[in-house]
Amino acid sequence: MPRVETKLGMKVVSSFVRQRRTQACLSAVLVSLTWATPLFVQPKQDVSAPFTDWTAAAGIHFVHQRGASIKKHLVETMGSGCAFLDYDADGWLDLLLINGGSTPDSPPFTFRGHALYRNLGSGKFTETSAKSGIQGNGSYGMGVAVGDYDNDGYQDVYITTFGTNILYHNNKDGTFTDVASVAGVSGSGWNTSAAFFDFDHDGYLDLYVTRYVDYDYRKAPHCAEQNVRTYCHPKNFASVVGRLYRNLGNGRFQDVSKESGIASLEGKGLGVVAADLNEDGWMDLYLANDTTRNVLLKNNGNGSFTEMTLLSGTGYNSEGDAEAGMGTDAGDYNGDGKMDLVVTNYDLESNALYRNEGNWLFSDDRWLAGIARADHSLLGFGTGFLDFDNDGDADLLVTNGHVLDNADRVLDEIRYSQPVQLFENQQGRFTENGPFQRLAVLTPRVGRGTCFGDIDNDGDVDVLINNSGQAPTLLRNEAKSGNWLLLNLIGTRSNRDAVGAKVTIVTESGRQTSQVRGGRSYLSASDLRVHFGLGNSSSVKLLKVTWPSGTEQIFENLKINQLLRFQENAPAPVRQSPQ
Amino acid sequence: MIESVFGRIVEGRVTWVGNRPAEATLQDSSRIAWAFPERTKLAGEMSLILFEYLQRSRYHLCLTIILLSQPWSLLAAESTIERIYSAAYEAFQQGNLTSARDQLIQVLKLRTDIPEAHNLLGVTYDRMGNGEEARQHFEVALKLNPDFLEVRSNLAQHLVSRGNLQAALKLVHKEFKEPDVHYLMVMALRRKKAYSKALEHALETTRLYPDYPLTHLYAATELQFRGELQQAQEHYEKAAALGEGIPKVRVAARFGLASTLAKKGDYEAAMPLLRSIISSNTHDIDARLELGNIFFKTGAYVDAIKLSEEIVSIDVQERRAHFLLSNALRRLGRVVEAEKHFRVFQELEKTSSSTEKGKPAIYAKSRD
Repeated sequence: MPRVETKLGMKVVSSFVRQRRTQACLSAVLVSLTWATPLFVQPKQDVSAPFTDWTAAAGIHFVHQRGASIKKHLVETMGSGCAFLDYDADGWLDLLLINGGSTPDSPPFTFRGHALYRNLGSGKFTETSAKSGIQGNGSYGMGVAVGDYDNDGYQDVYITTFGTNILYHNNKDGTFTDVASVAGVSGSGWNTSAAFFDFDHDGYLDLYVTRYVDYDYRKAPHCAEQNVRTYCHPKNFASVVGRLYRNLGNGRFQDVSKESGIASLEGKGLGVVAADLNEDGWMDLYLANDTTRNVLLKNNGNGSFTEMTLLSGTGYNSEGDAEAGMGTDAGDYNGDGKMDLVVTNYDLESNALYRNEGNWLFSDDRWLAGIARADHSLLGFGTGFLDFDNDGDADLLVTNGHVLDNADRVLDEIRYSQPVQLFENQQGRFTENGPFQRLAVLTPRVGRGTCFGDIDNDGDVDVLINNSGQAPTLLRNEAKSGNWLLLNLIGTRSNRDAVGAKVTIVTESGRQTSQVRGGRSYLSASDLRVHFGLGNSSSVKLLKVTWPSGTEQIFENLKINQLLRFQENAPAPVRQSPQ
Repeated sequence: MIESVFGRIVEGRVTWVGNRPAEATLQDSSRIAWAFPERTKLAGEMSLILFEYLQRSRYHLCLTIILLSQPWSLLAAESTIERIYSAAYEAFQQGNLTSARDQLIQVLKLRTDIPEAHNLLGVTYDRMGNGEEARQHFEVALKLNPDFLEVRSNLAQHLVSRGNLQAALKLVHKEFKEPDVHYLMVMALRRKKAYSKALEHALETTRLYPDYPLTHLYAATELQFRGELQQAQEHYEKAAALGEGIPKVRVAARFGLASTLAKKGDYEAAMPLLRSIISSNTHDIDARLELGNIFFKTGAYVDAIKLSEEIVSIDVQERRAHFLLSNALRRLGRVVEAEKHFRVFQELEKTSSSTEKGKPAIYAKSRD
């Protein structure tokens, strides 16, 4: 509100003409002193909170290492991500936590590497990092993408770093081999989020890698606030461009950034989501950029992309300001079948919600939808649409945590550790879930990467958050709410993970649409299975799958509350039971 | 008058010879200058030359005194000071604090007894994080003019922000009404970026002094910023009613109220408020932008374009207007025009980014 604010605060005069004011005397001064001191009341834990912190119970002992140094290299505060994946194909979601690392100025410490945990199916996880070989390559760990790039039935893992990226090929025996160099996806510089998606419909997952800024440890400037050294604003560093790698289907990728038109788009990329935003069957890309405009790219279906940012209105807020985009996701929050976009932003900004009106037009509905009404002292990173209460609409979760580890000292009332926010969708308007909020404020963290998936196959979506320099948070969904359906799509002509598939269901309550998206959130990879909350609906009258290959399949009268495996072109789905 | 000034000039010159600046000279010349504004430009240039000359050579003292005794040269000095001050003020308004500081130092070298300049320099230093320099200039300004309420307020805020509440209260207690003091406290907390405490204090003040418009206005602004739209609306409404006779408060409250209503989606209620602001100030850009955005949101793209074009005619550098214009043109399929304005918007965006280079380097947005 610059207009009003200029009228408040310290006063200066534009000329030497002096102003006069009535003089009066003072009383009740001491009263004012007491007002400056707020009263704090310890909130009680609410038993009705839809999630419980399951981290310790699950046996997860990982602690993120960020290598904080006195030189405050920006990379120390931006990571890291997490992933839900089923690397051993046993039907239970395993989890991967990306570790940071050290900078040339970090104090000495023993780096413990990334952490892969195998889901034992009993609510417990066991660490298998050493056995699996997923431990890192010495580069500072940032993000992760998961996809079966060679269609062999086992999910592979791509880890982005500040340095050399890693492509872990799944050896199908619980171990992985780094093939990034051979595959041609090692990259360089500061890589952040990544997304596997099949942009050319050849049946193989391609790869988009967002990149942040041109950062050099040796040339990093000294930034300070109130004479206290702080992490630098990204404006101090030049933008770089992301990279698009085309999967050649022979274990190798080709950098097609230039041919696709992506190489001309500079930005300070942090988040990416791949989804079909105009329902033409081709997956488009949306990039959340930090302090530079977000970018929307239309997949032309011929190997090239066209920037649609201007037309769509998704690059800026409604006042034309580029915001500090961090994480992003696509989902249909208003039930009109079109994928809308969410972007998390910096504190004193608000998270953006762009409603898809169709024909590449989006409306910035952050205020009307209510997500801008949340606390402006929070800095959002990971985010995702999820139907946490299985009532049939897309709710929203936002993970927060400041980038300044001395925020408490240099920024009044802005805290380094911040609570997670869960927004409940109520007919297209979001309100914070009260019980969750009361719980979250008691356990603030420095949240970063956030991924979503059903770890216990009980039909509700659980959440994993990687916290910078801290232990992660595994939020187990205990909402005990509506009916559900969980779909595991297996492509045959399409890529095996079915990334890009679109699913529409019709129930007594209406119609819902979802897509198997690439990327999402911040530095993270979520469960690729498609989850639908069904509320009180007792069956699914109709289910339509549109595969990336263009094949359409329609199924009728499906039972609820089950995990179904749909194979492309198979006559019927199969009920799946985890091993 | 001239004789009197001449006498002062001599006094000033003699003082200067004793290694002190010629304050007295300029003080009196300024008083004359107010009466003859039309002579200012030439005189100003002459005056600067003379000052430089004076500083180089003491041997031309007599000649200088004669020259300075001419009324145009006296006018000139004042004109120059005023011009530099105006430039400094402009730089300050644009956020160019270094330039503002340098020009104000120049003003004060020419004439040290301008409380307004000391005050502005104090605020500039304060924004630059140089608290000690800020305090010194506020104190000089107050010494020069004990009735200068703004500097009293600024110094008090400065003292409060550094925890010296007692000194701040001593400073203000004779000049302010009770709610003024509370408002001062709110502003001090806000300056410390203690926004929650500032809001708490403002809300408490509105309860104690429900007829005091400023704290309603502040509370509303902060509440709107936090997304507490219903509460913000209530306080804006009170501020607008109570501040009806205070133009700045009235406009700010109406604008804030309209903005809040627009955020709530109540466009019908917001539009008349914005129209009333525009009709009372034909050059108001913010109200036009807000109204233009409402037109855009409601699909009235032609009206949004018309309003944006009005803004551009007022200020061609207003990038938000080009942005809105571009978006509205796109919606009407006028792609070529839309892209033209988008390019202008992007160019202006680059310019505004480059001017931010002097700002603090950390990630910190401001409510200021």
